Amino acid sequence: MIRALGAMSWLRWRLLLNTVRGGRRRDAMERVSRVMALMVPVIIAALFVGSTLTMVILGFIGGHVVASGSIAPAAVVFIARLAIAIIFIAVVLLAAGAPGQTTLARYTRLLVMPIPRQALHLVEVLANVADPWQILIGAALVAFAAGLAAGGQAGAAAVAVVAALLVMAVLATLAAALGFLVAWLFRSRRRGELFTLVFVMVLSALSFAPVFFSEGLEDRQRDERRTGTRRGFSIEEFDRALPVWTRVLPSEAYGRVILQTMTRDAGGVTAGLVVLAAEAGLLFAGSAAVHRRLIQSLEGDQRRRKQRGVAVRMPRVPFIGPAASAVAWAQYRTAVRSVRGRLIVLLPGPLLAMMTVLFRQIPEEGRWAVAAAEHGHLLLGAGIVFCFYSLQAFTMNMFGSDRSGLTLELLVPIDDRQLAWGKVVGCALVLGTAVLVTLVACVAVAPTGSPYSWLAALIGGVALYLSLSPVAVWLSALFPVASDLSKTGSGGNPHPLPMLAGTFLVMAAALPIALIIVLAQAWLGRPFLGFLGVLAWTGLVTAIAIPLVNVAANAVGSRRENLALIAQNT
Amino acid sequence: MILWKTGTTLYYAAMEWAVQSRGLRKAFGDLVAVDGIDLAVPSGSFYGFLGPNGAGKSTTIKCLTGLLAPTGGSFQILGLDPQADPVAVKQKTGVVPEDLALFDRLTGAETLAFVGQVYGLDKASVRARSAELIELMDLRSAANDLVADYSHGMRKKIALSAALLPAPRLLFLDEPFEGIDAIASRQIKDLLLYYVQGGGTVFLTSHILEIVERLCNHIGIIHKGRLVAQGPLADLRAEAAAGQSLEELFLATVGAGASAAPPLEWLGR
Repeated sequence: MIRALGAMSWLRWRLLLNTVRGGRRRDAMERVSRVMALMVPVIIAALFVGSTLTMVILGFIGGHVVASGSIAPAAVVFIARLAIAIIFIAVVLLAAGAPGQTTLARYTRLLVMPIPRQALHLVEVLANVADPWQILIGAALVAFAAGLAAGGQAGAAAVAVVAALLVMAVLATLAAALGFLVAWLFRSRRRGELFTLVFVMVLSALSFAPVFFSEGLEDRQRDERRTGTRRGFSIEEFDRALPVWTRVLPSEAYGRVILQTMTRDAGGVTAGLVVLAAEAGLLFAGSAAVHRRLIQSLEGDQRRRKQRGVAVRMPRVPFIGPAASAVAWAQYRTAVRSVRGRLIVLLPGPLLAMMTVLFRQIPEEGRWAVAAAEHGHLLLGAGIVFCFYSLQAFTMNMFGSDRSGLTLELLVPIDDRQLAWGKVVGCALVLGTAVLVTLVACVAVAPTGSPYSWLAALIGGVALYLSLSPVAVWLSALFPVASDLSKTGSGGNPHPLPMLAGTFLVMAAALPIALIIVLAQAWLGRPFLGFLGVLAWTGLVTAIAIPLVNVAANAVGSRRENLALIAQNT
Repeated sequence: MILWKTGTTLYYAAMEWAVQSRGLRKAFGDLVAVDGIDLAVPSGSFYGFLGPNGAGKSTTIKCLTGLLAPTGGSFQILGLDPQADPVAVKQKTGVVPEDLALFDRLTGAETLAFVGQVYGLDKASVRARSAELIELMDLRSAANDLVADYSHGMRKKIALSAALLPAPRLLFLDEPFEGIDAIASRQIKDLLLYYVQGGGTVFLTSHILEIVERLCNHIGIIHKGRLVAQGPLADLRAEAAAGQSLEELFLATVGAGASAAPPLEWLGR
């Protein structure tokens, strides 16, 4: 067991190091690109160390003040409850992310090793303890117990250590169970992608939950204004409002154990610890069952095919050659069939519409929503900008996101310009679909404003896209990443540098368009002039962007070898 | 045909070449993967390019097909300079590379349509050729499934179909028979022989020496980045010891013929 655990730790460490080192088949630019991409995790690691130290210090101080009685225990424990709850949510979200190929391959590889399945399961569960979130909360809770001991409450400290270990056990087994479940779901590509799509959309909808709380707070503030009294926040009131079932949540069980330790309620402490232990045990058993299912289905999930006729439609995109047209359609089809592409098309418009509808209910909080409801074209403009940001997975990684398909594009008779234009038009088709969905959503919730302003917003989107295209081609050729578009997380992202550049460029390029529309409407009171202004701007941008895309295409030629190596993941 | 030998490489004169290289070299930093090889692939030949793992076969193919830029030497494909006019060369060639080069999220049929459109074929030809290839490769029931859902063998078949669709004059095939079932393997072999009889050239790498022996009429052997032998299979055999099989010839050429390496003692216990 110890040997297997050691081997797993070594494996994780080597994989990390080898990712940094990369292969020998890389040129200097690619090495620079990798180093820059690594800066982000290095910054995160530095922040993590700082955060852990802060948590340890805060935990210790918290334990000490509780033990010395200088602050009511309930207040400190309330903060601990919140911290545990937040960490649990973070772990659930992270565990529900799509597993990488390395993770899936690891299960296969480990299965053929001489490690019993039960031991393999235990090692995988224990490996979760090394998760940064676990370290963060574990360190804080143990420091809290140390603070209790330093404050003279040795008995309470011992109970706090046991409770902390049990919370960590629940966290580790929960993360393992979810991780195995998601890995099992992803044994079938379709099942996994459907899960990701539903998960992200549900999560996005749930992100509006605070609005409902905010609505409750608004009601409370109104009551306070009406009655002329001011009610402070009360933990007791908060606890009374919580449903009974929340008592079994690990954060709540932990809080009760600590509070009951301080009041020397031995029965309550035992009950709380039993709840935590039972949860850890149940989750461990559950994760073992899912792990067994995962291991058994490692190579077995094949879909049955139905006999069908051969149907192919490959329409020609006007104004570009047949080769560029083929690239554009391939780009469009592969994009909208990926999880990332579907989210790009389906999320921005409906989410914006949902936000507008929700915030319109609380005018004090959502003044922008009221304004947007009166000027639907502004909402559309904002929606188009959202579409641009979500489309960065494609626009800022036009070539790398094709992976093996890029090799095909490099092998067939397509010159650099055709390839670049095919990509530009393909991404435009994806963007166009997303904008169409956004337009429908905006019309549904805010059918207000001059039609000229709506047209100006749509044409402004064209100008925005054209002004970004040369930079997108250039940066995509210089910093390609073999991204996996079935991933919604970092695995599907472009290189951080183009993504950062794209973020600023969208803002900068959208500014003149927004100014033209707003000035024509608010200052001149002539939306038609805004439309003409945006049309003229689009003409100017088109005249500049077309030759610039051709120039940027030269970068594709000079980086062909590197692109091929990225496409082949070497 | 005049045949002569310089060092370890055989050269031919007065022949039309599908692939001809002089001192082709590819280095990755201090690692020299291909070390100045002089390839001579006659037009209309079935050329087997052999070598142990890591010898430089795939790197050579990648250089010849434009995926990698050579760091030295020159080469011509079908009499054209690929570095001067890569599109013209690609218009006449088809490739099945090591990683198969397929869009995961296109269907098999769409992959063929994509290739057909890029090569400038008219829609009717694409449709007719695609249907025939799909039928031949026994992919009819999966033609409208995403390539991501294909097995390895099916991916190989669709990659080969994509390479054949534009009826190229030269085919580069990197390990085309790896992972293919016996029935499909037989069909593909027959298809390739038919293609060569019609004047096409096949440049093929394979680890399966029996296949090379049965299909190829010319071979080249690369070892540690250097071309150690090249020529018509019959001539190479004639130079070798009597009765030698291709496997024996290959092992003798790459210096692994009568390996006297001591066995792993601990393995025998």
